[in-house]
Amino acid sequence: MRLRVVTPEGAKIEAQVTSVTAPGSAGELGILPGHVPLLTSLTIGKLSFVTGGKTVHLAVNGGFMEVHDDDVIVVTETAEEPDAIDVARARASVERVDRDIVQLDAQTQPEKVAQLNRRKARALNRIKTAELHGTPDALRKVREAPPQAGA
Amino acid sequence: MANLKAIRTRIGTVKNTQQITKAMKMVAAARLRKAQLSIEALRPYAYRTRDMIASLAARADFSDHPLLEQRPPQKVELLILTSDRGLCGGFNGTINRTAEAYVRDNTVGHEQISLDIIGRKGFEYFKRRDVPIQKQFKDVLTNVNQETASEIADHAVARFLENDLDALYVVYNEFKSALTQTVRVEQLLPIVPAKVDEGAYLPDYIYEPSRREIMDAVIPGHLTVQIYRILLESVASEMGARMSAMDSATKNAGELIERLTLQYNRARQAAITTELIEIISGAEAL
Repeated sequence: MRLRVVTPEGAKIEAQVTSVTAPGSAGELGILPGHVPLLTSLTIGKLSFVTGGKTVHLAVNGGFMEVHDDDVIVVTETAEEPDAIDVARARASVERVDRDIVQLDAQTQPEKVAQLNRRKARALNRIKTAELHGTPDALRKVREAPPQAGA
Repeated sequence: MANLKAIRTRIGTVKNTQQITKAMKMVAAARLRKAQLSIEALRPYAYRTRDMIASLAARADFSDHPLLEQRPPQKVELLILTSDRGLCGGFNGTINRTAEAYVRDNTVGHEQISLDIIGRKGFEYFKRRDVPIQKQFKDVLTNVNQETASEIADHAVARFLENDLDALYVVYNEFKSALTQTVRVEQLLPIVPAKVDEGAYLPDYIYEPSRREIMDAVIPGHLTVQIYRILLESVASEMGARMSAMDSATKNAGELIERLTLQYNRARQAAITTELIEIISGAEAL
């Protein structure tokens, strides 16, 4: 079946795949050829698919997935390959959220708090995807990189 | 002749100006190409999202969704997109005039009508006029990205949900081609789902978790994408307008240089002729 991943920066992936695993908002779900038509919203998480015998993982951020006639379309705000993720930046983002969130009152500014929590979830998802599925080379490069000032 | 030197200086000045306009045209062309690429990349995403909302809305009534709720438009806002810099032909003028006319024509029907302004040129125009400015978004145009688009969307959505705002329209230049831009007024809030063609095939989906929840998840992103697209369109139009303005400025400078050169040569020849006559008549007198 065919998989397409569409983001605001353009079509990311267009591939023939044998299975897709997506982070649906009601839980992770797997799609195999011959699936009934399905429409689901996605959460922040990992999208995996098998193409040419290899499993590919992407860190995705929300959006929705449409399955219809062995045609899978994932429409999401971001879709990043593990090796393209800047782990240091994601870590800095987590730290920043942790620092900022204690200064907010969940009672008076629930939206701000929710926004920060979403940002943190996105960063954690990127770190996790990069660490689990990045090639060792790319990871080592990130780890050995000197810590940036202020990070 | 005395004005030989004056003409020479003038030619030099015009040449300098021409170099600047030529450079500006080139820069505008490069940035136009960049904006165009971004628009093309965004299109599949924007259309998919729009179609999704349309197909969801076609199957169920979502008029009770908070962002689709039609209220009598008492408090109306106009989001206008101008540029930070000038020298781009009628780009800002048409936007400002359209917005002003819209406000003038609609003041009676609404309790309140105010402006959200993007771009320095629009702000400078309206701060001297009798139109309330709700908010000026700064530093949006230097780097158009999704984050700024979502900031603008969040600001509007929050106010819409608190009943501070009943309808939001946007006034912007739609990018047709590098040479033509058309001013458009579109409604952003409440969201109006696109119509699904009669008899269009809608597959019988399983909805997970439910139609309503999918709608809730997709709609906020939809507004962000709309605004992002409009920002990109406006930047592309600005660059197109500047490109053609600078192109004609360069051409005009070229014509001026030609005319001045002709004038200069005539003056030079006239001077030579006068000198010759003086020499000849001097020699004859001897």
